Amino acid sequence: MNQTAADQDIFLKWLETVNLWENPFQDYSAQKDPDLSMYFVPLGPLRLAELVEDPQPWAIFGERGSGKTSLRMMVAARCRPLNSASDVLALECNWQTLDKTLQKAGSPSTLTLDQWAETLVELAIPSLPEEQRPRWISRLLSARAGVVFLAYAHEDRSYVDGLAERLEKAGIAIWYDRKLHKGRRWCKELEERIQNARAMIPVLSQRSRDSEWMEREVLFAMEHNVPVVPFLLEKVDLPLWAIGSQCAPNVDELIRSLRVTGKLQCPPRYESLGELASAANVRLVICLVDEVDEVPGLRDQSSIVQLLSCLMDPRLHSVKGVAFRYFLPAWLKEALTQKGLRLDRYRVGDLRWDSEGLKRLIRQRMIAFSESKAAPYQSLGELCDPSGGFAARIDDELASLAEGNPRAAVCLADQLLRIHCREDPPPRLIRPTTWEDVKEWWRQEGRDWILGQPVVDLPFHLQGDRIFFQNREVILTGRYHALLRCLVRAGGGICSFEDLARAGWPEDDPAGVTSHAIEEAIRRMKQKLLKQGVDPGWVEAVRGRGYRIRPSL
Amino acid sequence: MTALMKGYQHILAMVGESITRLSTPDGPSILTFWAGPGGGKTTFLNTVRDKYTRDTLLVSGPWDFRSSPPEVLASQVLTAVRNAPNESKKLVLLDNLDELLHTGDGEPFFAFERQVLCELVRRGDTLIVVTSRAPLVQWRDYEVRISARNLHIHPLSREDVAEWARERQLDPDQAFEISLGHPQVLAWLQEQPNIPPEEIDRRVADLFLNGLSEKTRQLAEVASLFPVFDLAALRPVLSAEDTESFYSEYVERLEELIRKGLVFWDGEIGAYRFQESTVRRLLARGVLHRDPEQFRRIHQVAAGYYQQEAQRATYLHRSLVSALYHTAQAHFGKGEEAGKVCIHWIENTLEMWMGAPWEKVLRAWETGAGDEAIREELQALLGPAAFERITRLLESAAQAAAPIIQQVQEVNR
Repeated sequence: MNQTAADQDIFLKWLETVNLWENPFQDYSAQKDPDLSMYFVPLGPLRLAELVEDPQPWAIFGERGSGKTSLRMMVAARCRPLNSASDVLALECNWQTLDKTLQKAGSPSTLTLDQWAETLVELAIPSLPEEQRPRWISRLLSARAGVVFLAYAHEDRSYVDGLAERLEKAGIAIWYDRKLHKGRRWCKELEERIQNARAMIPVLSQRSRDSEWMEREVLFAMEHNVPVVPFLLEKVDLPLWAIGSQCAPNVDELIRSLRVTGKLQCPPRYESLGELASAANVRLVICLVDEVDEVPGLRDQSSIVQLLSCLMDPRLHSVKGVAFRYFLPAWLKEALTQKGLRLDRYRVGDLRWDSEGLKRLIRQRMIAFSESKAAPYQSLGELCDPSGGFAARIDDELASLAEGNPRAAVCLADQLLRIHCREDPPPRLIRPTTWEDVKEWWRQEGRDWILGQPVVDLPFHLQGDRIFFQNREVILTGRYHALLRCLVRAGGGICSFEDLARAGWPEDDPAGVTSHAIEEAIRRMKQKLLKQGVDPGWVEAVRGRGYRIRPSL
Repeated sequence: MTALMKGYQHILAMVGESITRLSTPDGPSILTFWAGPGGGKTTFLNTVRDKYTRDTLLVSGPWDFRSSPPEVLASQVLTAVRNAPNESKKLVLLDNLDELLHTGDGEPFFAFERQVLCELVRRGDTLIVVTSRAPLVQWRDYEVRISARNLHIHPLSREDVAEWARERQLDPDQAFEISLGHPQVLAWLQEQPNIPPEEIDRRVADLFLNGLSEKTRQLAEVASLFPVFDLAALRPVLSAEDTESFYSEYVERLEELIRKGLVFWDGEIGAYRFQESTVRRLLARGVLHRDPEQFRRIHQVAAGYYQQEAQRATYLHRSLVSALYHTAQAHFGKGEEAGKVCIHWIENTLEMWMGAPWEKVLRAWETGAGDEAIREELQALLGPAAFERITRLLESAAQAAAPIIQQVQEVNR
């Protein structure tokens, strides 16, 4: 760690010397890039305005790292909720959303169009006007097999038992803490029960007014958009959170309220997506579907195609007021066509970069990160030693080595700067020999890392949250589980220290998690793997970058 | 119509075209017309105002960022546009907007972009015409960036200068030779028709190099003899050692020139060059007048450097024009000798260039390495016959190399 901090210090000093306020190439993944719009380079034929406005469905194909997610994020940035002045609402659907949808459905083959619609409604709800939300939430909840959660003060327990019985007789499934599973982490279970509940009934009494715990449960429910229907067990001053709510004064009224709240209308069907635009007061809702190949558990092409056959169902495209944009890996194009997908019914875009485009990308980042606003850098060549024409050719050579892949270009530029700063102190100008080192690194490992296939045949795989090694479940607790899951999800790619910090220490700022802490956690995780008969050698350290699962031992 | 205004006709037409294309997907919303000091920016902006006020367009401005605080101008611009009738197209004129980049840490520029330009661009009914000393590429907002274009206010052509001179009973050729079409030099000439050459040189140096440190001024004068340059090319001319301290020192001086808006890194050619060829030539002429021997020596050393560079065929497109330019300049004033020396050098080196990227080499030759004025200068230096002969030699070499290049490409495939 000390070495890394020292390296970082040298690097920062050099950036300061050359008047760059930060490394322009440190972000080569759009998801983590807060400054994207400052240097996003538009691709010739693909016009952002059309991607936002067009009611037709679009399928945009691109290699890994070709800018699909950047494009998606730039489209989203022009729409609501990020741009409140827009009359288009964007629903961003990434691998996490798709993973959650699949977990509910079970598998790609059992996913229905209506379940997919439910996911989109769920994504839209936070962007709907306040008054619209309850209606859509209740429609959503009615599709769930959830129960009604009873929150109460323990002193009212005997009354609550009777209330639960009456409600169940009325056909309303009830859950309260009497049904807590012995041996499970009760707090975690309570959270899950509340989150998945159709509604919550806080039983209001003089005793419950003093129950801090009940208040916490209610606020948690409200935070997770679970409808709250207070029940007045006796006359009592309403707590702050209940003021303005319709409180049921008796059981009959409570049952009526629950039926309205919890079983209102029918669950959302795909046709109801057409109502979303007017509910959100927008002209068009665009659904941005991305990262289908990054969903854990989708290990082969056929399962991804199966998932897409639902996500791209032609019936969706006849729903007015909703349009779809699919950002797909280039290698899926042929498979989708073979599966009978009519691409001629889509507007198809291919993300292809030429050397000039990549040079523009480098230029735009140099401009954005230059300390001098009046005279910003516009090329890597300005940082390089001109001897032997090195400065003149570096941008061309880098663009050529990147094989038309913007992530590769940014990564190569990042390496050029970092390798240059291995010397202490680094010279003002980058030498040609440093570029030779970068090319060597690219040949040895960088190219596979950035351009290599995302799906490799690893002995580990995921099923939802569970991790399997050669079809045998690996049981790890807390942080160790999260770290291994992160590594397995990377499919053999390198997980950076930052990725691992986010996974293992989700509540902390990743910058505050030291690489020493990560190394120690990985060491312990390996010991635990060994105890379960898994060779810890599968987890490999990649010097200076992070860890990965080896494809073979 | 004055010659000056006539010289603006083609860029005025771009304003007109952009107004027509406003709110179409490709239509720009910001046109930045740039030129160095005395390059005619304010005159141009006033010409735009007069023309389009006549065309009953809603014109606001010009607002000059050198004379009023940005926050005051921001409020005035927004009020003017917001109060204008919605149905009409609007034209907003902003003079010297780049001044904000030189104010403090440059943040006022981005604040103005955020607070004013973002709104105007998104309206879709407003064309913003800006002047600046250098192209504006710093925009942070994506919408603003993609709707902004940079256009150079070129110096006047020989014909325009001739017309200007005739209106004032001056010798047209002499007026062009003295001014190279630069509006500020023409203005000096108008004030003082018999202005001595050394006085023009002094004023040129004052106008373009004021505020620079003495060493940076010297660097600017040396660099003005180069159509394109980098520190490796300047080092032998400056008789400096290839050391870290040389690069550190001169990079800082170069940065000073870049901040001044005099030079920039040309990504196409992979080297620095002057923003404006005319300014470079006016400065270079000062060096020639002051010390002809120094002028010749620098070109001789530079010719040696670029001839050496040109031996690497792969990068011939980057070195050929400079090699010929400096070789010709080293024989400046010796009649046909410059042409003969250049032809001789090419004939003796041609066989090394078989693997050169000929398409790029020919393009570099035809465009004066991206600067039409260099091509014209080369034609004048070499003489038409020698220039033509070199063109034929290069074209023949390209033709001879074509089958070999094709063979190599097939093998690679």
